[in-house]
Amino acid sequence: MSAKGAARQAAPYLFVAPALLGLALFKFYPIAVGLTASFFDYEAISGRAAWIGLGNYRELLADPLFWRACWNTFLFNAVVTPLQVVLALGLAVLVNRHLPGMTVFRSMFFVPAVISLVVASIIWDLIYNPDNGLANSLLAVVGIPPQPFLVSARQAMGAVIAMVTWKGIAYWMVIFLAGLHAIPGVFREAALIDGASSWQFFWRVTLPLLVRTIVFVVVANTAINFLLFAPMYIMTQGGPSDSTTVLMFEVYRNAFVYFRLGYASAVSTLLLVIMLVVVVVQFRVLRPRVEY
Amino acid sequence: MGMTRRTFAKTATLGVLGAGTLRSRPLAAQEKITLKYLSVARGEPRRQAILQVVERFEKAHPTIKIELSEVPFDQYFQKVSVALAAGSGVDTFDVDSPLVAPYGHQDVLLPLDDYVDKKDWEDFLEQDRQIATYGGKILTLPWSSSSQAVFYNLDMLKEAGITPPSAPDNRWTWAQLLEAAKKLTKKAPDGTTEIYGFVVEQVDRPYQILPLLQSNGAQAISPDGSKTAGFLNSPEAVEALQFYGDLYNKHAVSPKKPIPDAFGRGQAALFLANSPHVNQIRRLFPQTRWALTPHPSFKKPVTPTGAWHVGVFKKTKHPKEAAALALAYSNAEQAKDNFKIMNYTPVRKSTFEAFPDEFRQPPNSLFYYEITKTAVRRPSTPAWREYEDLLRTAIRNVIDGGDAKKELDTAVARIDTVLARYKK
Amino acid sequence: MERRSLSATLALYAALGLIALLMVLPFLWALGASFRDNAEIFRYTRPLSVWTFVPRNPTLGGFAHIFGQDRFGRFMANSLFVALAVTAAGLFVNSLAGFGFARFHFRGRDPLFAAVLVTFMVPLEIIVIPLYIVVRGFGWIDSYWALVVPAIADAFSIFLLRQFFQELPQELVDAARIDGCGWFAIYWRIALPLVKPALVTAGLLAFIRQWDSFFWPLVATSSPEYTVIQVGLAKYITEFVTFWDRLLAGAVAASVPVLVLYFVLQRYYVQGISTTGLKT
Repeated sequence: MSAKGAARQAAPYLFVAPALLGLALFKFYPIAVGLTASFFDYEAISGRAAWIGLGNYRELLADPLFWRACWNTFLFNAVVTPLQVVLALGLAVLVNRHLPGMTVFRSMFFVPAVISLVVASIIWDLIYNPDNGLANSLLAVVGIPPQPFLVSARQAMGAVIAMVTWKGIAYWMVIFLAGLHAIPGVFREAALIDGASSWQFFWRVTLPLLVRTIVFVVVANTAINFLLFAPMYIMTQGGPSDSTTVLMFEVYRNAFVYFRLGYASAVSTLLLVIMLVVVVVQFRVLRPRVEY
Repeated sequence: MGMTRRTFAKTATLGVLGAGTLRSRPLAAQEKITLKYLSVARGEPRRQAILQVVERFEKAHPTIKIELSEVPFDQYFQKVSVALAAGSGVDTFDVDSPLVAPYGHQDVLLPLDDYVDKKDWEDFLEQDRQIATYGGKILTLPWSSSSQAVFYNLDMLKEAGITPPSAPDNRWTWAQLLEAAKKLTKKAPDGTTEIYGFVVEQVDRPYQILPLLQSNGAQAISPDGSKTAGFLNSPEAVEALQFYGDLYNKHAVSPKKPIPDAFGRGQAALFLANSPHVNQIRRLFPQTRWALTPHPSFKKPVTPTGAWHVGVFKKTKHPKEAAALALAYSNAEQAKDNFKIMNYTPVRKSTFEAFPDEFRQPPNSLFYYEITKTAVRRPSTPAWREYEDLLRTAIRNVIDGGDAKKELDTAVARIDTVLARYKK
Repeated sequence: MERRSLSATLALYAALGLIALLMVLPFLWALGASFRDNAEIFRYTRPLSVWTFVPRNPTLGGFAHIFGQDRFGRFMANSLFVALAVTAAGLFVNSLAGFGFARFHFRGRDPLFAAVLVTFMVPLEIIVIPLYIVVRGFGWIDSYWALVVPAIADAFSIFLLRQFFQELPQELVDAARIDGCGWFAIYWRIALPLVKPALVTAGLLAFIRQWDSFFWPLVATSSPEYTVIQVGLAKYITEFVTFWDRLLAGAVAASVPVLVLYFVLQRYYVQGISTTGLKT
């Protein structure tokens, strides 16, 4: 093979090498170590570890709290991810125009993304305070009696979902805006001249052209939401009555409250497996159907 | 042409990584020892105490440099855990007193017996000496303790015609406190509560609530430390916890979601809290006029206690120096300055004696009484972290309206499973 | 010109206005609160009034304290340095990888890409100890290196850019190859300019991720000189009291650079009338 030929063969590897090197050192290796810990009874602080094979997995599959967390995680993700994606896409489409004032709207929609998740959780915790919070003040204006929000097992999960959705929409909207940017304005004009309605245009042209962006948002958002627990930690501590305990909370609790890193790692591994299954399904379902 | 750019970028990236390994610290004229000191971030002015310790120590030991790291309170344990687990990053550090047993069990604390003067050791209160010892060795040095009392709003109670007792022998029963709280709770026209009769500093922590159970006659754990069944979920414990839960639900004298600074802002009439709040409220909410009444009791008075010790990491490279630092923080002289600045309840008899005016008059006289006569420390068990978390969940569920017996039974079952693991 | 009735436009603006209000309200409340002193912060939330959002006795006390005594400006500078370094280096490294995954078929491509995706499905809590040991091995603990280098290669950016690189028409690439262009030149001069909005977005979001980072900086650095914003903010929640005025002032101050950045980058999000490079 000629030198040029070899260079061509090597080209893709050279492109991905720097990033893969970084990931190998700072992600792949620690992940391998971290997940392997799931087969050990590993006392984080003293470093003492004993091989127990599937012991952690057996223990956790027999624990009702684990199953409760699974259910809560499923509930949370089944609602939040689609909600965020649809709303973010909707907003992006709405503001993706050359009308006066759109810049202002785009900036205002982005505001939730400029506060960190931890700070946002703290602020919303105050907002949801049943006696002192902004939420009940606003409801009072429209005549709705004060709600318990985070102190009610029925409302807590919904309250957390609302807050997470508020934050997430801003974040994903900018990605959709970038995706929409690539769809040339002339297409839209031509379609409208031909008599197509805005909705038809959106459904038949915009959406299919946006598929790759949508795949990204759906998959990345899924991963992020499955791993989310700061809002639960700050606002409800997993309660009331374990109603907001998600799997990641169990990971955190076992790792940093109980120092049982092996067990925490087992929960995390199972969570990873669940995520991978969901993501594979998403990739299959959302395969791009239009090439242009 | 394209090749050159690509190679350059790659090399630059690798260079960035490589340069890190070649970075060397500038060496001082004489080889200085660096000690890493991890402390909880206490904010002004209380952090002046540790700054003072560092300054004095560095002056007394010119070859030692202290790297002080103040860590946010909520994340302190996480940071310490990673440092301990990774085997570096800490030499001397704050140890929350009930963690002496777990850390001792995990063998991460350097025994300090050789560094402690036996006579000086007797200066510490008996309780604190017990907490600091595990497996027959001294593992930490106490430097602060805690005690609680009920702060009450003078104006609100006067208006309601309530005069709480000031002497510990006369203290309120919980039933009496409840009666007072009911009278003091005020609702707004729209149904929300304007003033809560009674609020508690640490709403769901065992530190705060275990004494209630113990005051009613329950025990935290079996004497040999092997189980909680029959102890933590005894009928006395259930009764006490249910009473506590009723404060939030049946009687609604306490808020289910804590209101920040409720007492200082005049949104609560009675506030069961730790001694540092004396200075805190004076400073942040000077318009609120208050006085103290002793911690209520069911059958026999029990108050919470225990706070911070200082320990040395077993794998430290400088055991002598790190131990010296721990001693500097906790010695009798520094203890007096610590009290003046931080206002934690003292752990040394000499500190109490050094401030006779403080401890013979309210409010600190009350704390002195409680610490010496009614304080019961948290159980010393290697499973404290799990115990605390599981009991806390039970307490929280009861606050949310759950049944005390069911919650305690659940917690006890889980705690005992954990304890069984530690027995092996 | 779009045929759109006046009422439809008004309806659009009304809807957008309502949504914008909802999005912004919590921040508005925090903004107002950051100009209040501790005693006033929660006084006017109920019943709702103009004073809920406008401070009755505005004060700069919170801001003065954090920028004066607490050197919050230093924390912001630290976060700015780290975020910019990570974003700049990351844009380069991650776009290279995104391009590689998008435009080539090579052996091991799909398993490698799957491995890349896995890296954002495992939480930091599980990898923090081995990661700490690796970073310590480089001698970077308690330095800017620890904050910057591990964050550069990032699956989120790689994935995002790969999706956009995939959209590029093969004809463009083929034409350039026929002209004798090397792959790097194609990447640098043809592909990158065409995915500018994606680059801007990836950069912006990477910047925000670093700006908000909390747990890793907490663990990897101890010296006060490396304190980043989120760790600095957390110090206002102490054992016995939370300094709300300072916490909120800090949170508001921290949000300003990000808002400014986004506003400045707006032009990359405005829909272009022009088409892609396929003008024939």
